Amino acid sequence: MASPLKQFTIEPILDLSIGETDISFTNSSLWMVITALVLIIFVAVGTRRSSIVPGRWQSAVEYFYQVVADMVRDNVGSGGRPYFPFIFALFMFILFGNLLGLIPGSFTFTSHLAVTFAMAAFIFIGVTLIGIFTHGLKFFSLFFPHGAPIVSAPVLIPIEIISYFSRPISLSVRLFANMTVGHVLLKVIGGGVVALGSFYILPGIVPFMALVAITILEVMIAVIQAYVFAILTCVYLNDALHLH
Amino acid sequence: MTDPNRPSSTSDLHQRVKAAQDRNLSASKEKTSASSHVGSGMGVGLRVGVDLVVGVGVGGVIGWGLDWWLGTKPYLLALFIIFGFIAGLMNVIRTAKQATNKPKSGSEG
Repeated sequence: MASPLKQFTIEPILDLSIGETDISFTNSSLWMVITALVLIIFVAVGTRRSSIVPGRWQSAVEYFYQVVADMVRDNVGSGGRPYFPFIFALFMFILFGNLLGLIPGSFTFTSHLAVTFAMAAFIFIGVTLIGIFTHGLKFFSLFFPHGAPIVSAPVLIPIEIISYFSRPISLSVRLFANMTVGHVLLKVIGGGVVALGSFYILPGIVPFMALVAITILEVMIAVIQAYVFAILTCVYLNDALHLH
Repeated sequence: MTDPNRPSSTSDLHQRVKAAQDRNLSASKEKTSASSHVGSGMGVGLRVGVDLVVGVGVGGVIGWGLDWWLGTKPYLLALFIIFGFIAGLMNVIRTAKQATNKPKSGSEG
């Protein structure tokens, strides 16, 4: 049986480099491109002949639009409207990446910390810059809770700073850890099905049932994690736009 | 052709469309509220565990960095791990607050 971690190996498909930097086109990049293409086709076909009474495909696209629009409105308010396209693209990209990663034989790029941290760091820097440009120096009042006694500043400010800097890390680690754990679990139990099933057919059924249940759970987690990633982006954006 | 379920006359078409729309709207509303409730509940649960661990981790890294910079080994590391734990707890409390009073105004966070 192959190692359950073998599915996460990055294999270069096309060797490229700029100077010393390795920018090879890997299986991870391939699946990002596939995800983006599937996403573009999904949305483009759904909105190609948009009618007042939507067909099945158009309703599906509109459903996702509605979910993200509600999320932005509930968490950021009307000030978040300019950022809706970014959050929609982010949510859909992670969602489709997670779901396409569940297809046997595919590659889950969200199971790599490098990918999720790159996204989280981009959001973190972007949100911080938005906050500074909107509020100027007043933005730094985010690090001191409103109305707290000034004596508590030496304790509260480090805590708030740690809390602020832990955002991109928890954002990226959450997605990466959930995807990695889920895929390892699927592989391990899948191995159990083969091992026990080849021994005798009946014991193989038990891990097979578990595998079916976990596959359903993984589909749920794929959706929930994309949703959590997007909703936390909204929460951070709200903090930057409205401070406390 | 005289099927009572599929009347071909257009006289009451408007009414039928309206009834169908209402049915569809209430059904979809129920469905989205139920599914988003379950989703957010599980989402909050998954958020909380990571927040606690990451708070301590970031606190530790900042403390270690400050120690290395100011040469105060190991006091700031210990202090910032404690701060990190508190920061993690505060993140969890904030998440819980947000989850309990979901329909909040945008100005409060």
